Amino acid sequence: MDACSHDVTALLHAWNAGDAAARDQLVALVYADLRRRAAAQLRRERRGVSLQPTALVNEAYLRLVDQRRIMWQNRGQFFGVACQMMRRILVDRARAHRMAKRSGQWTRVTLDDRLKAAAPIDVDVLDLDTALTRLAEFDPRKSQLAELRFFGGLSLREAGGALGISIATAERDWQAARAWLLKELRGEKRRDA
Amino acid sequence: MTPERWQQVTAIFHAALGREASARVRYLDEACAGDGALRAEVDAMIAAHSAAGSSGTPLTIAFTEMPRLASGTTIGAYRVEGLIGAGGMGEVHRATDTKFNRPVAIKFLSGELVDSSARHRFQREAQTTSSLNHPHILTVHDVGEFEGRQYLVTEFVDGGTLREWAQRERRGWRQILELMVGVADGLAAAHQAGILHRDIKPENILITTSGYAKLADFGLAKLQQSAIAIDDVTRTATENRTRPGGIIGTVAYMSPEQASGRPLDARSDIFSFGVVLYELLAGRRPFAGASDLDVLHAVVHSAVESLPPEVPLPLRGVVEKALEKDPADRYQSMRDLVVDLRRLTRQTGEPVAPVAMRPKRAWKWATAVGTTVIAAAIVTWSAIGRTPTRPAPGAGASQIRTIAVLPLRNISGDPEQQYFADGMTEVLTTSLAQISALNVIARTSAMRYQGTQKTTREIAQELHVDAFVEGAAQRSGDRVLITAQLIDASNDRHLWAKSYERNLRDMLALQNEVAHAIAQEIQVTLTPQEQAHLTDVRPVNPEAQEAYLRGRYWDQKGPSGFRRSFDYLQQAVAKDPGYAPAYAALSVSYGHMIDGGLLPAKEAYVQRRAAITKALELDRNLADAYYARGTLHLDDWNWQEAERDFQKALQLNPNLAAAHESYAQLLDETGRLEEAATEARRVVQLDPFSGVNFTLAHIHLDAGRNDEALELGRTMLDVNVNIARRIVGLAYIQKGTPDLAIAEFQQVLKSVPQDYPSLPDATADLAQAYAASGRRREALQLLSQVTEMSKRRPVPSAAFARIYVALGDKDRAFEWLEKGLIDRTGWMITLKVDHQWDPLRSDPRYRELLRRMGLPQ
Repeated sequence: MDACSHDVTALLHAWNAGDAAARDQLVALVYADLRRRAAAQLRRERRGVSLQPTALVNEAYLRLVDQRRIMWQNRGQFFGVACQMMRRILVDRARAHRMAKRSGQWTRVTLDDRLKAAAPIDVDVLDLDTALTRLAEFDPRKSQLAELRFFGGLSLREAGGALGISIATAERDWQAARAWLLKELRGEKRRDA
Repeated sequence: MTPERWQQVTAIFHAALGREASARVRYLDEACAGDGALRAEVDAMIAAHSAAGSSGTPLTIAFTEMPRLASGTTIGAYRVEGLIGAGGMGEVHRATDTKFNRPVAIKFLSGELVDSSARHRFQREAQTTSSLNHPHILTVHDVGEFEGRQYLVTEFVDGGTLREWAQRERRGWRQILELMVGVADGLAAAHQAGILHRDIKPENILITTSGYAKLADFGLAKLQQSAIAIDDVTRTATENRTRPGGIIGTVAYMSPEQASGRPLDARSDIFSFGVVLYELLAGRRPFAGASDLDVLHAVVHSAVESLPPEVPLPLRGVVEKALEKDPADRYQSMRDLVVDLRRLTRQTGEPVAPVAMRPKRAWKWATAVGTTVIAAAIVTWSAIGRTPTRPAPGAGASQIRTIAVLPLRNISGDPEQQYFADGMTEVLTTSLAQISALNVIARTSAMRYQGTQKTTREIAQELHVDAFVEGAAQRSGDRVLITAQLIDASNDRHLWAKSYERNLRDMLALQNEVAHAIAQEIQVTLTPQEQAHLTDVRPVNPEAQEAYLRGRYWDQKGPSGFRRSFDYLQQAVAKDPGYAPAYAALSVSYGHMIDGGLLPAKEAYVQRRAAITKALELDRNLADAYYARGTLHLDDWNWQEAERDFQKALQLNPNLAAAHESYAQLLDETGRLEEAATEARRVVQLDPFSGVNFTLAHIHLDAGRNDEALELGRTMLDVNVNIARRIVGLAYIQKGTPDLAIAEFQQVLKSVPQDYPSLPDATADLAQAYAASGRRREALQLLSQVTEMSKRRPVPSAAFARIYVALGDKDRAFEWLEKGLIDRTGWMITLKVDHQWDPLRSDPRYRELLRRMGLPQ
């Protein structure tokens, strides 16, 4: 995570202890970081109207605002919640904008591992959401890891840190989670076609 | 899949990936050993893995726009005719209902209601809403689905939104109340039918061309909960691309429980309604911020700032109650709120705003100036439902010596003309104030009663007056219409009433004529000089006159109006270079521009002086000009000249509260504390609500009347909390209890914004309190803070001197006071009287400083 991440933990403690000013500082700190992530996530939009990074972050905050009662154990947990929010936002957004498939309106997420991939893989964000939920049923940790990666834009190291697992484990988890999710999503596509 | 099975899958998956492609198949054959499903699962994962590659994970998300409906499209019986608007909720088209041949609006909801139960719910809610047959609820005719999208057919409202209505012109609270009570009633009816709105905001309240409000989009918010919030986020983000984190409309009207994602009931609508009402009355949102994060935070946590004083107290109470954070503290039902609002509208039918302008007269006047105005006047008056009362003629006037000119009503029906009514109030006040036998309450205090609900007697008691002047003013082209009544405050009887119609050019003559008539009526004697002044007037260029009134109007609005005021006054003197009051007002305006940092001090100072000189050249008897020159002298530490000018100003206009106040300050600073207190008390009398008590409180402090200062300070906490706290704190220090002062000063310091000019002094206050209570370390820390500050901004030398005195370092204190002679800012002027300088008094350097400042030693 960022150099300022130890501040995040300290501020979370202060916030939990009822220091409202700490919350503001925390938001400022997290805000900048989330923005960066959101930008990374959306930078490569391909067409249509996309969420502005700021809007995404604001929305995440909106849902975060009254979660003060949650006792954040560490910054990882905090970011975990933030990423979860991002996911919900995107899913809601997709749901709101999803048109009848027969009219050819799609909401998609592009999973594009290779920067110069010939054909990015298009998936429906709702399908991704469904797949993540299914994965969580039998392997919550991998599902969370994928959520952090997809919706929070966290690197493997960051995501592993947030979940409290080693980088090696994170890598293995990610390989399996991603492969399974892609498999699922392809299946969705085939079923639609 | 079970976790066990999954474990098996991943184990084989990882093991297979660890092998060369050639060895992989054999491994898989073995590992899956006849379990075809297992093998298929792992194979598919490996294929997906290979297709995806191995490195990072950029994620791209794209949304495509909804297709717009083309004009001419036919949807059932509706022929689409054009897009009216598109927003968070979807897009709205104008259409014709061919069956009934009537105009309708079709609203397409954004997005698709995914499952059939949601669709069903939408239809049902639409049906329920359509059953709400209420004049203030937009009628729903029909509901349907077209190409997978849900739509609503509603009545077509030819008009705009409440937002546009509010922005078109300044709306008085009565007008707002009249409009919103209908909306409230509609909402109450919906709640009674079990329907929540969930998204009340000015955009969802439509105003017909005849000025009738209709609440739209009932319950859609719930159906599209996510869509609204997110669409608004997107839209805002798009609109505010250059300003990240721009305010989101919807967030600003959310209730705290809504903002926190908790379940909603009718009380959430009540809150949102309160937000709308507040915004209309105050002209700003109760919860605002630079970013929507701030707004949201404010909604959940911040207290609401008071509504402006012109909003009657009971109405403020209604809004505040609707805006309670905790739903349990709010109105529990919309019906209760409606009852309170209704009561208020009824109350406005009584002579609460003591304006004797009666409907019949309004009608007659309006006839003279045109039909548009007539219509407006009728609407206004009939809406308010005023009952005519007959003036009691010829009542005797016994001993009326203190009067107030209550704000003249703007009866043009055009809020843009408010400046005129306010301006006339001011000039009439000025004319009357020149009569030395009369005490005339300053305009700033009288203006508080604009649109008041108080009774004549209540106002009389608050202002300590024997009588009022009240009336109305209207301007149409160059014609000016004034009506004025004189009312005996003790028995509410009309002593005198008259209406005047003149050319704008003759306004000065008119105001004096009215003043003269009133003076006669209450049998006060005019000195020959006053007599002459009231009759000797020159005509004024109407355009200059108008610019002058507008300039004065904006000046009264405070810092936000200074720039506009300045521009108008410039115009006034340009249009009529012989117009003395405009020059006097302009000089005051220069002062405000300098204080507000809107003009470079040095140049503006020269121009300020020139304007005063010009004003006095044109009119040797202009009290305002002498007052203005006095303040200039005061800033120059030219105490004698300043005193001469204040005395002259007060001789010409004994009721000029501002001159009394400045004079009180001068007397204080020069150590004539008893005279100062007398002057200050005079201001309190003439202008009870100006906040001048602060001057009196400082005089008390300087005179060592610590308890009186303390008490006065406490009473002022709701006027200006920071100044009041400072006074309380200083009183504590002087009383020898600096510990108590620390908390006060800390509070002040916390709330002073970092870029405020008063920050260094607020810091010095606290440092002083620390030093006095022996906490040197903290005091020194604050000293270094002030030093830090001085690297980035001007810090008055006196602020350093104050801290050093408190720390007992006389030499450094004198060094800084010496510098203070040059920058001449801050607390230098208190050198003679403030007790914090006591440790220096015996030092010859102190006497030398006083001498150089021109202060008595």
